[in-house]
Amino acid sequence: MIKISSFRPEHFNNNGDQGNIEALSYSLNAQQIEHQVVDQIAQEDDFVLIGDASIAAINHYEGELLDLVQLLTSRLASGRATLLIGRSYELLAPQLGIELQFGSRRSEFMKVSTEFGDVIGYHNSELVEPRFFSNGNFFGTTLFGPVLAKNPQLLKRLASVLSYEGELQQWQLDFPAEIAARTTFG
Amino acid sequence: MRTFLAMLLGKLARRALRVVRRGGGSALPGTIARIIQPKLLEQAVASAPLGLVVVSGSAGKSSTTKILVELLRGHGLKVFTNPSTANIRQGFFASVLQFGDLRGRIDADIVVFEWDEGHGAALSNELRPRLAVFTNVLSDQLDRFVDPVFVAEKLLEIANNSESIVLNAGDKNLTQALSNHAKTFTFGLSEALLASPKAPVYALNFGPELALSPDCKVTSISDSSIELSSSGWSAQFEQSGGGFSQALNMAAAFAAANQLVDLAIPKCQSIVASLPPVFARDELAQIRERAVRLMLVQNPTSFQLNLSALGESKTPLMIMAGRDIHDPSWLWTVDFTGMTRVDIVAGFNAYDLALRLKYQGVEIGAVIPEIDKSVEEFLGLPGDSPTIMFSADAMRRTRRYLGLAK
Repeated sequence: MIKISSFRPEHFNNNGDQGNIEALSYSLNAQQIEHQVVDQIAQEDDFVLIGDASIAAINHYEGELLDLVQLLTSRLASGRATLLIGRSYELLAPQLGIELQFGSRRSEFMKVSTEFGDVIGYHNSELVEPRFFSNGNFFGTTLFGPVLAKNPQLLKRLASVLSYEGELQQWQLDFPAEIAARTTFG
Repeated sequence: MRTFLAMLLGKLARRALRVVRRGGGSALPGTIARIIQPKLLEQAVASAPLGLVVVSGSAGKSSTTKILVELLRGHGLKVFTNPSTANIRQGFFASVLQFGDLRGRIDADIVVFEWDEGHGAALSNELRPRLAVFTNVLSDQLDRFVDPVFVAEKLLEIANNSESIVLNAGDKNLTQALSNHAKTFTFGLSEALLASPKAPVYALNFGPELALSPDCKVTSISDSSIELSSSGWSAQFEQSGGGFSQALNMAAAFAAANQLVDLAIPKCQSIVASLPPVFARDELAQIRERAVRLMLVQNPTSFQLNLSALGESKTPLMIMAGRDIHDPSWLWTVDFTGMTRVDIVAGFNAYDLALRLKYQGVEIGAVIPEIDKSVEEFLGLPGDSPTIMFSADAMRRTRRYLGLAK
């Protein structure tokens, strides 16, 4: 069975990041693909999410997050489906050898050019580069919230890794397109 | 002379705008007045002999302010206050224009303002409150505040500029940041209520729990009443619909009022009994001969409260997410699982809300971002319980479109 895991979802859901699990799970359910969502992260999991969290949560769970570095390093090397968001990404990326550049804080909607096309979302960080990192299906980003739901090309790509072979429903494509068209990007 | 000019031109601008825009609501008159006389607000506040009281924090500001104002008025004070949707600098200037005379003076013994937690910090340097009431710190408006620790910092700045403070003893974010203030009073839940699963949850904080015993304590909450106790008195107050949140708002207001007047408890009981029932700030409005329920949502907590208060499916139902929801990501922290259908999803952020609803399996009749079209479509739908749930911006625009006074 497909296994989707999320680190401490009750606290690492700062801006609705757990919506990424909902978007994946919804799409798999629509295709009647059996899967389970758990909050214990393991190497063999088909998808791993570590969402954005408050400063208090990041400080409190820093040890547990750093304990995941070896597991994440292996997933990064093999490009295994993983999504790190916000402060979790900023904390873990240097440990994984991803070089980050910082500048002054920007708080605005952003459209980031990636190999998957433009990825949109809300950025509120001092991180300048890379705002969206990818290696295979391993992603890290400052664009918090339901980034998969808002970027159906990413959702479809990750869902296809998890045995999803169908098309997304029309509204899964249309609503994000309307959102993008109505958003003023910084 | 500057004050006179500021008041005159501000009032004229206000009157002209209200003729042009039905339902009113604009920051322009206040902005004009502020440019002409930046000290207008300071002078107006200074004209109230008992000074300024402010209520700030992430949630509960409006209700706490309203209860406090009623308690003070019930004890014979003339109170100048601000509408809850005008809790930033421009809003205060607009209130002075509305209620002040041409010399910028207000006819009040005391000023009680609901203060936005961000803008209030800067204002506190100028206005120096006599008393500041702090409700709580939630994980809210992160696009604006970045993190709850920065909200606590803003509140600390207000506290440092205030003579005395009243704070929620059950919120560690407040007790850790503010309890060193020289003159601190507290409100909160009894130990038994704190252990309830219904007790409110504040911004995540793993720091130490400071053992502060509330000066004004909520000791019992039922569907129809709230019991408070403080030094020298304990009493039951009729109040329905608000649960734990409203009980804490009441305790905050009583803790503050206790510092300002000699409370006559029987009088307080009748004042509280005359307060409207609390359903997370909703009201029944007559719109084109139909009674339409209007519910204001401003953050995940109030959205969730309103969804609980909504009860069984309402027909027709419209939910509007306006421009004030700057980053709509937080809509994904609201649980819509009890909802089966929304007839119209509207407002500037309609598609963000619709996306959230669809992923939770909620059926949607139509997505119509434009206020005029969505309102007309909604009012044309059949059903005996028409309900609109909207954010503050969508509320203002809808009211303006319908010519509803606020």
